[in-house]
Amino acid sequence: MEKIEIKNVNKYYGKKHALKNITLTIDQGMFGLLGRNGAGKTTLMKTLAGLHQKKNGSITICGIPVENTTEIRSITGYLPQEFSMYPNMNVYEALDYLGTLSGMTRSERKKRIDILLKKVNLTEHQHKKVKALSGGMKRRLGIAQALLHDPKVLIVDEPTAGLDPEERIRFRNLLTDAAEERIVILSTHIVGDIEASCEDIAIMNDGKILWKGTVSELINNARGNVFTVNVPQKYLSQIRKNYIVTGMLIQGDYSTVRIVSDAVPDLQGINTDEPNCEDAYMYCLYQNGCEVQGGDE
Amino acid sequence: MMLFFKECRKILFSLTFLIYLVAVIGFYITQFSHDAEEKISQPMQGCEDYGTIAKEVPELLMPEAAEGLVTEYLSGYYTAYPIGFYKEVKLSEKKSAKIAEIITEITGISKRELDGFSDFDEEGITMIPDGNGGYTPVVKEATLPEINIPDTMTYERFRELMRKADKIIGGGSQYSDDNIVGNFSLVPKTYEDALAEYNDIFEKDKITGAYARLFCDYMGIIVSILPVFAAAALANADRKSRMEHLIYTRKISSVKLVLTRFSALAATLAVPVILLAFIASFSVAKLYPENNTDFLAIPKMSVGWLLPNIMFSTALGMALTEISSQLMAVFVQGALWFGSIMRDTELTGDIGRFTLVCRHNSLYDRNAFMENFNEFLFNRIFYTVLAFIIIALTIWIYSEKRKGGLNVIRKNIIGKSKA
Repeated sequence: MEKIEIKNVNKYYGKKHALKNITLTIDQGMFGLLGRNGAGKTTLMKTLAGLHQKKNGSITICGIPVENTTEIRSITGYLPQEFSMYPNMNVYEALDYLGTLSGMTRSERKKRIDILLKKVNLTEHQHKKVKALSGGMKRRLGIAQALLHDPKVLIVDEPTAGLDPEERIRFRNLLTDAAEERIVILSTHIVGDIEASCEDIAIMNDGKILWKGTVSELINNARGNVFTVNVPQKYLSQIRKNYIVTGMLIQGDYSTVRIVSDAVPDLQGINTDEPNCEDAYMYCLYQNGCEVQGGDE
Repeated sequence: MMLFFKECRKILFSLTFLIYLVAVIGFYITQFSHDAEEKISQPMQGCEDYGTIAKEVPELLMPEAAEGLVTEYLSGYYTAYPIGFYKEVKLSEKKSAKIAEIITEITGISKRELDGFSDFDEEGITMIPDGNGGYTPVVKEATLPEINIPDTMTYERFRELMRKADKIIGGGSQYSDDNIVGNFSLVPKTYEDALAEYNDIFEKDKITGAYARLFCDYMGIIVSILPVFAAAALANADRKSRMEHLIYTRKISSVKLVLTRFSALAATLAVPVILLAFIASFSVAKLYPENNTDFLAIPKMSVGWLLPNIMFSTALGMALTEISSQLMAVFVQGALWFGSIMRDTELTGDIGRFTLVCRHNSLYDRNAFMENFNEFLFNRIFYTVLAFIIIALTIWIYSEKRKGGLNVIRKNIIGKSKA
């Protein structure tokens, strides 16, 4: 029963249809939810965490309906996109306070906090006030608080936004470790995070699930539809106007441009290339009729 | 219990609590500490004035109340405290005519005669041109019709008519059963009255009881408003620290969390007041070394008198901050407090059923307080129950917010207030 089942879920904000008939099954391990800003990822995450009420449909987490908030809260850990903690509390006190709210005993709190601080590399900063932590440290404290009561499900919303590359890798590794024994749902708009840490993914846009499957299936889906071409720089703006450009490498007066397209672009010297995850994501959006700007800023 | 102590710690180390502490201690020092050094003096025989006491004397009450009603009729405005707060009532023509009918029945003065005193509303100082380019102030005093109550008017009928007038005004007026004696039948105290009161302070109040009333009078002013700041700050702390969602998703029930926070606030805000009550008891006991004072009288009365105010202000602060904003909580509690403080009333013993800030600004006048003691008890129980009702409402609001249920309402309220 260690899975999340979402069936025909709809959610409205007034007249805005934020989640459109979402159906999804998430098994143990790391699951990535990819989509643009405003695609509905955070709404879905909050609905799973019991912070939002759905209009209809059903959600069960490890067999428990999401409406049973007390039980759901005891088996889920949530790390929101934007968060902080009482600035004047130190790291240990903040975790201890949240552990108390989770109904943990003093000895349970002590044991778990020590383990988690070690895991997230904050042991030596445990007496530092929250307001003195860097962005990366704060995120690591965030993951520690979400894992404090040893939940079966970890819901993590846009955790790497704003982190430097080293912190981002460290954070992804933490999530991967956590996913060994629980369901971890990672929502992000950064394709690299998904590619590096998730096997199963879903792509959301405008409140709908556009695509679900594995990362390799997503890449396979784009195979034969990714092209590269070497063009003089003066043609770049024309190419960006006519095609979805996923990458450009400028080399002197020439640029190597990556294009995703259903048909072979009518350009001299065009070559088919192996798709990467970013190409596959862009192709998926394009394939589903989404307005894709590609490289055109 | 662990959470209770953690919440207390959060409050104790907050800036709002520090400000509260300084204000409460400052108020004690500037307002009460001088009175705590004053000994209650025994009345001396042969004094001209021993103060007044409310006593139901029909011969005094009837003409005084009738004059009061005529004065208000002519001014067009009636003073009332319908739910304990001052209200200036302006009656419609139809209702005004009914008041005139009552006056006619009591005094025999017809409506036409009454309305002849039309210069009443021109009372005051008028600047008249003096012909040399300047102005001369002319004081114009209102003249009231001569009021004679015929012998045929019985006291029972008079009180019945006063009740009717009170009903027309909307209740809570000077003519209501609760207010009429205190407003229109004050008789001078005799030496014997004053001595009996003095003896009661020593025997029944054990001295400290009198100081307890004064202590609570002063401290009541401040604890009826300041807790709202601490409550609003605590209720807003999660939002301000962007910690709301981390807390909402915890296992703890909304009932337990809100009740614990409320208890922690009430306890931490009450403790300084209770400690000051013990300090006051100590000061008073030092003044009367030869007497057997009740050392616990001031702390006990503080709990009964001041705790309901702390609880009410805290509960309202939490509820309004949850549903709206800190500013709204402070504004509403401030308005209630100001309305209560600015009541145009006696500062000794005149405690209405719904008065937020109960006053008894005297070491003396024990009888005035005791006469209203049942009202006082009702009042304190009312605010305690109201505090719990508001907390029950806060629990519901908090629980809905955790599920995302009330965010739309809150956004609308805040959105509108910002606009």
